[in-house]
Amino acid sequence: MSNTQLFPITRYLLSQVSHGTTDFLYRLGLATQNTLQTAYFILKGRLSKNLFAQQAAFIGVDALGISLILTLFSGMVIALQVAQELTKQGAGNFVGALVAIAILRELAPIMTGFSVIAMVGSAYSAELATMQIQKQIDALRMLRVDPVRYLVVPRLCAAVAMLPLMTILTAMAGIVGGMVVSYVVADLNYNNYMESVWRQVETRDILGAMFKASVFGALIVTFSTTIGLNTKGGAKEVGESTTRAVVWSFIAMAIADYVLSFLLFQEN
Amino acid sequence: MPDTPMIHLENVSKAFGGRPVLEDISLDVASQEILAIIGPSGCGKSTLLRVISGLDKPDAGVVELGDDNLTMVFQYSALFDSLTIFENVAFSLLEKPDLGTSQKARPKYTEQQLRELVHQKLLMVGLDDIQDLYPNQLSGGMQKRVSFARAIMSDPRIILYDEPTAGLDPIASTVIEDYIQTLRNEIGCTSVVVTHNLTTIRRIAHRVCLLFGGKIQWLGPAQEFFTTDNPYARQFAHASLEGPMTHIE
Repeated sequence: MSNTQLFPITRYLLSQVSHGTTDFLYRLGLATQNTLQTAYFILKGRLSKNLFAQQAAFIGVDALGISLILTLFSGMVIALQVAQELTKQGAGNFVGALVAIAILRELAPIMTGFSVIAMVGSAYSAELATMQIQKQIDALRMLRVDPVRYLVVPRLCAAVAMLPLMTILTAMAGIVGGMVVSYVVADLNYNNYMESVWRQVETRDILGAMFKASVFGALIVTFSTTIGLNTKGGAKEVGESTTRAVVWSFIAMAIADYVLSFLLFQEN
Repeated sequence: MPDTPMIHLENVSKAFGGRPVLEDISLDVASQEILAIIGPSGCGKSTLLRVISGLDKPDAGVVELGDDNLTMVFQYSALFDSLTIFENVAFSLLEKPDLGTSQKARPKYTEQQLRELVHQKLLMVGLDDIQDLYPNQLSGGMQKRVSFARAIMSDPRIILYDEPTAGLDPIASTVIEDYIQTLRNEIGCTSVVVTHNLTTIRRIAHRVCLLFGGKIQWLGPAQEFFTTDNPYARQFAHASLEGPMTHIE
């Protein structure tokens, strides 16, 4: 029996892991290159105010609604799970704090990020991939306009600015959702709930949530635009790029979420 | 060989994935000349154009341009879908340049001055009253002419055309050929036209460069292209299956 016939499943799995790792490193390299170019243009003050405003409006309009709904229900679910139990144990005064901290530290930035990936990141990737295969990116270069400066910088700045604002709004929705459910299922007084929120929530929870959301925004736009700009082929590849952008954005966001949660909220 | 070339290529080579597409290409194009680059599909014509334009870097060899004010008209127009015709044509004046050797700021225009400039350029390619439309509201031929207008907005010294008549009917193709000729006469630019179209060669080309197998197989005046004994040129000119060129795509 030759070597190539031995352990076919192991060999297949190893080749898949190897291919996946190479692909990941390649895309990471492209994303890093894109980030450095973007930073260069931002430092040179080459941000178009009009394009920034257009993109900020696009992100807000497209993704805010769905992130509000997701976080509202997340807050309601948490309250549903804990309100009755904590009240029974005589800890009803902590329900508001628990919901608010879970929402602020984790769910609001995550749900906002999910919404932006689904509604904006995928659209960015598809748009830039289509521009790439239709030679519009080459046309930009021939008109002496850098595609990163024109297409990536305003999108990235808009995401970094908009996601924290969206996160605060969605966190408010989640906390209010939790308050309503706490009242309905555990007869918890609105004032007690809000008092608990104000007592336990710290400034660093709010700033941490905003910072997390900014980082998520930067990652989503960087991966979506990098993958879009590096698309080759035709309509099928546009679809593949869009899927890839969504998957890589989720992975990058999950890793960043763990690292940031550890750095921002871990007690000494 | 032209005395003062506007485009000078010396031993240019380019490969993709280990497959050579251009091998040791040396070529000069004179000022105000119209050079047609022809050859079967996949022979490297568009790659040669991209190397001249700077969109692709050659693996080896030298590309020298007499003037860096160069532009390119793409096969399928490559207009920006989300911008109006006005914004497309005026793009090079609305956006501050990032690339190229001359990064000096472009002159500032008022909206009215820009509209007048765009109007003039659109008139040069036979279009009017379409400034507020979007590209998808125009026919393929009109989109192509808009892409001409966009290309000439900065009064380029060199225009590269990638299959400008592809996908157009014969009459629309004649219109496009006439505009290539008109632009060359009016703004005095050097033109390199990648084409499959024998009519384009007959009507507007000064010289013809036939590519096959990554090399120049024939280079000479357009009027000699149809009478030469060169087997490559004869096969292409007569659209014959018999000859040294096998279909490679």
